[in-house]
Amino acid sequence: MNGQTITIGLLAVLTGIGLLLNTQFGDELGVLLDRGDVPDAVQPFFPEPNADADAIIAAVRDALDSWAALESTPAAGDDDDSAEPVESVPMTAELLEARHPALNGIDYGDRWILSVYVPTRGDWIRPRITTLERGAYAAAADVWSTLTVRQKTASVLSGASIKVDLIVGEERSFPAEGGERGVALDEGIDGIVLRHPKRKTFWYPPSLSVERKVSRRKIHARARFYARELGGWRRAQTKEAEFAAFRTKAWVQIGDGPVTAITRGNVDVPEITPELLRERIDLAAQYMTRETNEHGMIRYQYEATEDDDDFDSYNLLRHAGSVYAMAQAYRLTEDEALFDAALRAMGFFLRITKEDEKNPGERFVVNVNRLNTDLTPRVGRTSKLGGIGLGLCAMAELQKARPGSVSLETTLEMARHVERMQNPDGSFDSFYDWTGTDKRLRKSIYYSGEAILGLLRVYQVTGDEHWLDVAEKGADYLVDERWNSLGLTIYTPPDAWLIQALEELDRERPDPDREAYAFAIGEQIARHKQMDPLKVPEDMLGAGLSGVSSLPHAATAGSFGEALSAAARLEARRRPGESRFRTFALYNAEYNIRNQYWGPNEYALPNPARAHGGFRVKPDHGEVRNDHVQHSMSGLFGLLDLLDETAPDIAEKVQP
Amino acid sequence: MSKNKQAAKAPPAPPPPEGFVTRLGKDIAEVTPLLALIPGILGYVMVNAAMNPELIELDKMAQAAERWHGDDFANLAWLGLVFSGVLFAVGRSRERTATLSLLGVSTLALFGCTVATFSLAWVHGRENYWDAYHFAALLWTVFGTSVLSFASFKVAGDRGSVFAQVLVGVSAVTVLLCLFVWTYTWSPLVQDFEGWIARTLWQMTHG
Repeated sequence: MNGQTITIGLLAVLTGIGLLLNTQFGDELGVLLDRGDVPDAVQPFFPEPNADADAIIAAVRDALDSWAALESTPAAGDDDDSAEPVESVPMTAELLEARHPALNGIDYGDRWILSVYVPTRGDWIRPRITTLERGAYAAAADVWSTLTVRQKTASVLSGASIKVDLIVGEERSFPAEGGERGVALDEGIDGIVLRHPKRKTFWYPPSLSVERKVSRRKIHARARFYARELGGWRRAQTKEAEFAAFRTKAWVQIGDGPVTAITRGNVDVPEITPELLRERIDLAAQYMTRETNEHGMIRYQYEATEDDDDFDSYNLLRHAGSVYAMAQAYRLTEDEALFDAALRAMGFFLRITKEDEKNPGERFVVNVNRLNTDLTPRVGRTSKLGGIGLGLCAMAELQKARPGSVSLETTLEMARHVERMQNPDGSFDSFYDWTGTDKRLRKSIYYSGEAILGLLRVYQVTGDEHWLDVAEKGADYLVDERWNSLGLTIYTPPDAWLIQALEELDRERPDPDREAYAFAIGEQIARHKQMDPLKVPEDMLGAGLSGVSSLPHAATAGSFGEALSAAARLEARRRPGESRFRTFALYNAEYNIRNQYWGPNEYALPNPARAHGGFRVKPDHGEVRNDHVQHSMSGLFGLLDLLDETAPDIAEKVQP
Repeated sequence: MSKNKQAAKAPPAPPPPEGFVTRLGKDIAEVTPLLALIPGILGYVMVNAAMNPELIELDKMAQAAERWHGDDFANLAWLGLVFSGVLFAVGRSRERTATLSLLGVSTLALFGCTVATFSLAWVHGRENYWDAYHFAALLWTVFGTSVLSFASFKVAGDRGSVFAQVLVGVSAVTVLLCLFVWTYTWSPLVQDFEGWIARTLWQMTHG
């Protein structure tokens, strides 16, 4: 070969490598150029308390309250004596400064932005945004002038949230639309200022990008939309405007609650302790209790940022999982309302189950994945293995919560159906063709794990080792055969149900292969999560990986919490002295509970009381779904089992 | 001397009968080098099937699973690999390099099509329908075709084919990649490396 051909060959090799890199990481590599030199988030990530912010918030609230009181002062001749006496002294700038002397020392400059969120049931909140250049009184007056008559009442304003942003550092330019996939803007960290010669400057504070769902690539467009919606700009003006990014420190107060530092629209979480876990599980359980109706249906989906629950979707498998988590929570809280709700929901599930006419003594369940217009369940024909598997988990958990509360015979009928679904090699069919006309080839990755965990729970409440045998056979198939062929391991699925089953099976029948597989699942999950506190923003510790245009999913932190806490329990038993998975489980739990609505992070919700305790899908997407809440509750319950010796044992055995 | 004469007069021993495989090999060797395109054509058929909308649209998957079972893809992949092997043996036995050079391209095409088929299958949720065997069949075809492609170009290049000398580098890269993927299937170290890349890229693109 001569030098020329070798050179051409090398060029071909380089081209090949380039193409390959582009195929695998093209998205990320392509956007790095547009990202440029975006700075790190302001430190500390969650700002310290700030006396100026406290004073401004208190003063603005005082001014709004006093004007509202004036508006609601009974007119002469009004004989309604039921209204409480209210202060009706007209608020003035002088009076406000006199009542809030801390305002006097504030150098407002052009660095402060005020946002006021007034709850509006059934719709997203349009915050009133203004600057504080002319002081707190003028800013409050600006806000007051934009409120509707209904909002100008003490009762409505008492639930309002007041947020102040203090701009830090210099403004920075960025490519239009945030560059490729919006990568030049950090969601919830970067605000946008729009300037137009014919308009008052519009400030789009950073948190607006996470308070309502928006793709990263649409943040710039969202800022323009808000300039129209909130600032009264014309569409053409928003397009002509000069724009720049800026960063802030921010503090918020809901009603008369404490003033709390927020970043990316969220507040910091305290250190994970058993007390905190108990508190958060209880909050979630209360959410589930509220969302369970008198027929036992659990609200499947609630869009918290829009206060919208007008969805017709349902999922009976996830319903069963929810009952399971509610029963777990009852073992902690002994809240009777919760137990009643769980029993009602179990009753709903059992009403959908069917006795198998072909196989007497067995019971299966058909799916419900839609609701009728009158919100009654639309019962389908599909019979999922996962549905009956989680049904078993729910039945067993209720039995553990209160022995005798559910029928053991019904539980066994369901377990016998699961056994029927098992093939001679240990694998399970995912769907039961009960009509004889609905043969399905689909093999769910997760149904088998759900079924095996269900069988183990049946063993825990019956003591019958037969169920242990069936579960073990199923687990061995998944560990040894499902994803192994021709000398290759194709895949280790991040199967949160299976790893829990393996941990509990290990207590009864330890096996090195199953143990290794359980840890492999744990590693597989942790590998794609941010587990290094030195390399990620504080609020992203424990988060999974997301695409360039979005923030990491928070709902999966729930199921991965179940998985990692199971791995941590196994680690504590099999690898004493090690804490790798314990640390992973704690970091994951941090991200999990950061995304639970629990108080200060509800400031932008139209109906915070309803969302309270629910877990949202993402930091920038306020959808609360019952299975996300379930996974989070069960994951935290499993972690509590690890951290607190007095907490209920997740795999407790009870006598029938 | 007389013994030698006698030997010279004896009729020559008949050649040993040729076996079926030898005769088949000769037949194949007689035909045009274009036969080497077969693996590539099989690859095209496979990836074209994998791009069938019924296989990648969620609501049609269940029905499509009956028509395009994982076995069909695995069989196509195996067939392509076997053809590649046979044609490599044929090409090696020829003095001219055309067959091997063409085979190198053809197996490289089969390699690419199989990678694409595997990726399409994975991205579009075929793991809910296929067994590990189906994925393993595709992976071994990927590994095998990369080696055969490299070997074809290497032999042809050594025999003076400039075309093969240029492309041998590309196929060498595919072999290295296959080595990496194979190692990934069993080595936690390599899996951690992949995870590190993914995490680092996320950190570089999010703040």
